Amino acid sequence: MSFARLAFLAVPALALVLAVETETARPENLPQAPPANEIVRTIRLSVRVEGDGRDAYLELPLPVSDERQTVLEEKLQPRGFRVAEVERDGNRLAILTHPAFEGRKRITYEATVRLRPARHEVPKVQVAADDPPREDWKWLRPTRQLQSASPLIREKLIAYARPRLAEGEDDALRLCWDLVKTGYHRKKDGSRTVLKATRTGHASPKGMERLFATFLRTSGVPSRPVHGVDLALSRKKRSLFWVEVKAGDQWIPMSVSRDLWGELPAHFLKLAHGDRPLFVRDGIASLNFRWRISDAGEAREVIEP
Amino acid sequence: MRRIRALASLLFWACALPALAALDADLVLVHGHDPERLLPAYAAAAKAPRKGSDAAARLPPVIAWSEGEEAWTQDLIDRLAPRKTVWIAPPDVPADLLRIPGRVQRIVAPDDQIGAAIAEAAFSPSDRPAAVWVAEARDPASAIAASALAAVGRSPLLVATGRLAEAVHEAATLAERLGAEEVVVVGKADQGRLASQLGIKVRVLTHVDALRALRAKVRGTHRLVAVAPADARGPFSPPKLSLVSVPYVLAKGAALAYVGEGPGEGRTPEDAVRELEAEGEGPFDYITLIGDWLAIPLREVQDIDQVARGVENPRVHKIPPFVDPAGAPSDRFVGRLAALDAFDLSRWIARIVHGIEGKGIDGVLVFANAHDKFILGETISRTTSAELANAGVEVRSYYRDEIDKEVIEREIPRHALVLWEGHPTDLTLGDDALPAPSRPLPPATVFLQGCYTLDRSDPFVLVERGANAVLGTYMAVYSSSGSAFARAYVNAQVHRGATAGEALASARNYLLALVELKKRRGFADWRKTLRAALSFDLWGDPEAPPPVEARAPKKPAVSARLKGNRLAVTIPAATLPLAKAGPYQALVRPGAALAGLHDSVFDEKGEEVGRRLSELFFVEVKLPESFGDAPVVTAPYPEQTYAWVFSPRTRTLSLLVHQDALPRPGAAATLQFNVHAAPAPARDG
Repeated sequence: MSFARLAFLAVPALALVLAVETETARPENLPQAPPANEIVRTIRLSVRVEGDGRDAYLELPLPVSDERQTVLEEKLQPRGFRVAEVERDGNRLAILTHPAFEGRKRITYEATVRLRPARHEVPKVQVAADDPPREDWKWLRPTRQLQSASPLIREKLIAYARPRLAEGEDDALRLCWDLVKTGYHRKKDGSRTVLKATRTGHASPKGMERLFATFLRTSGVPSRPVHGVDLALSRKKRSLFWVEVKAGDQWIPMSVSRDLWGELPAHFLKLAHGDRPLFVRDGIASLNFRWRISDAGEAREVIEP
Repeated sequence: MRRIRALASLLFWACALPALAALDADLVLVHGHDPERLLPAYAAAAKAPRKGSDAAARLPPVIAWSEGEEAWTQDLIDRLAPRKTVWIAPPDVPADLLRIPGRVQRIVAPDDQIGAAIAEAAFSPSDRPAAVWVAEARDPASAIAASALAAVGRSPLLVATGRLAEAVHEAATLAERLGAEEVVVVGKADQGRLASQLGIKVRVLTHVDALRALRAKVRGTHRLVAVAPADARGPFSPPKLSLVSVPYVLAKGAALAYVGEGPGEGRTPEDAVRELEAEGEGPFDYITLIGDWLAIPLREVQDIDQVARGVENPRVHKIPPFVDPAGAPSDRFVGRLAALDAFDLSRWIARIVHGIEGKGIDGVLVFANAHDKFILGETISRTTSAELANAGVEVRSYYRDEIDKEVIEREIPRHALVLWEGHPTDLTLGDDALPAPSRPLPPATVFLQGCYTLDRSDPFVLVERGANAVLGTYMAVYSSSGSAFARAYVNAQVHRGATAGEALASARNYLLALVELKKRRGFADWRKTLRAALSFDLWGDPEAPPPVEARAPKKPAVSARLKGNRLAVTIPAATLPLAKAGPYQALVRPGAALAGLHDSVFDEKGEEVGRRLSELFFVEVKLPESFGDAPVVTAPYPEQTYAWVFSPRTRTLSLLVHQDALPRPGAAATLQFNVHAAPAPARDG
């Protein structure tokens, strides 16, 4: 996937307005929902960071325009941080750095986005019996949070899948979905990590998404967690987590904890995918953040701290 | 003239010696874990073993790696500091993913050509290999055995990814060019048809034949490696650990057996040993299982304590192989090499086989009772620290709230033996991830003394990051039994230089002797001790030497000597420093043992002010055959002051003596025991 590569080096304390190029949607991927369902919102991410004198490094995920979501305009106020924009694994990242960073700063990112719901036909994906092609390895290998090679995970999945495979049911997506749905007790304060959830049988919504992605990888189906924002929620923290599954050449969104089988509502804004924290940071003593969402016409001016 | 003669002699020997050549490297890096790339690499990297070595072949470290493994692979490369590296990979692997010092020879080819490319790089007609070996990638059982046999014979191996006949034709061409006498196919093939097609001698072996041939090369070995080739193929990401077992098998000069499903024909490791020993192989003292518990399942038993108490649905526990649930003494030295994937295992095997050491790493780290719940265990653990210090080992010990994330992160990478005693979640962050996730660990031994410590991801994480051995449990253990076990393990290594497998067996036998002592003393809780004895397992090489070097103890240790049928147990006077935690205290002699047995300490008013752990003395001696298989120990002390277990297989008598046998508490003494063969059973009629 190619993305807008924009000059993004900012002079400290200057806001840079970016025009974002929209990627052309492929015909087969076009969402089926009518344009009437579109929404336009202005989002404002406010990240407060505190330095401890070390060189600071912060990766901020920026929304990518695709067939479902379009970034109409955006603005980053780096407050003295040096900024570079990079594309990595299909994500668009603002890399903010600051030598010997001390004290507190509030970095703000504001964007106006147009979104529409998506609904995909989810094809059957067979449990892989052979090694996957090398181009899929990246989204199949175990990571710290998706411990797909763990015998604990494999044991759970094999025990569940064996009888169903014997009955001729070999759709990996359905097997993994059903296992998470029926093999774990959904609990708000359940474990977010796959191994503890497997030991205890209790999984938080985020844990359920991770379990789904993990079982898919164990089954040989490329999958990746997605960080996003729920634009419909009124809470200060609107962070979202769902999963994308590779079926053929398509990445299909799915959320087992929200019962979203191949669909995504318009108010879900995708920020980044992959087994990575929302913010990657180094040399920053503390970080907290908040979202503010408004209808595009009501977008407030950024207020200096 | 003399020089010319010497040169001629050298040339003669160079020509006469068969198959000396191999990949010229002190490190081989293989991308991926595909059998067609990995298994020919083992064959091509093998050299003749050093004189006097037990090895079947000598290989440089052969490391399988892939994207995502760079950090741990790089750490190992840095430790190895190779001068000549051979890089084997498909063409699309970027060459700069790893920083490799020295000279690098790159063998780059697609999968269907990689075997020939490796053979081309490693062999020439002057090597005169006896054969060219062929196997199929889809038949890992045959391919593994073929790789090991080719390595022993310093011959090339081709692993077919497509049609076998094509690979055999390629092998015949290679054999002709190298002057090899035959092509050997391991797997299913029609020998007559192939021979008629090729015009060269062709031999076909089944994997069973090949294993037998391999065992013939190491006849008399006391080592057995059991692998499960079923873990190399199939759905749900099998870890393919069996594929990377070859260097370990060769370095140990071990017999190889297949267990588990598929080619293992449902055999357990115990079945395999029984069958092979019945055929006159072995006997096998050191047994290594290579595979996780899905590939090589553990036996499951109901909780013996709960069953005895009549609990309706007793818990089911896994128990390690070669451990008798009824409590027969441990008589083989067993370890398991299980890792998340073949990459982790290949690095682990390289560390084990090549003795890679961590720089600036030494001494023992003790973390005990971080949850402040296991006071009795902490008391015993404090004596273990003192025991190590008495043997000249540098020890750093932390207890209760001294243990935090920062201390764990700082200290774990600095020590060769890490002894964690207490609830296992203390070692994890969130759950299941050690708090030093970004840093490689030294090749240390990590003893996780707590409940279910092997039934979670900790051992895998430790191995991935660089640990050489992990000891832990598959069930719940009481802190006193667990800490007593750890202390017995440390004693066996410090005072007797026991290998990891020997120390494990010794510590298990200590707890089994304790079970017998508890029975003699009328304690009803002996089943909990038995459960602890059954629960510990070693993930690592059973022949691994102690991870820290001990000196002669400053204060002498408890010892035993058998003369005739008289067994003298010498208890020295000098004690280790008093260990105290909460109400418990322990004052023990070096080499002494402890358990949950204790006496109350009363003040002048007769009120209990503390509890003193009873000192126990555990010794092991070898008995000659004349003592029979069920020797009896007698002594002029009350029966409830001593107990023993005996292993007919190892001829080891494990004797445990309670402090009540001493003339007075704390006194130095030489306790005398008589050992004799059990009287023949009376015949009826």
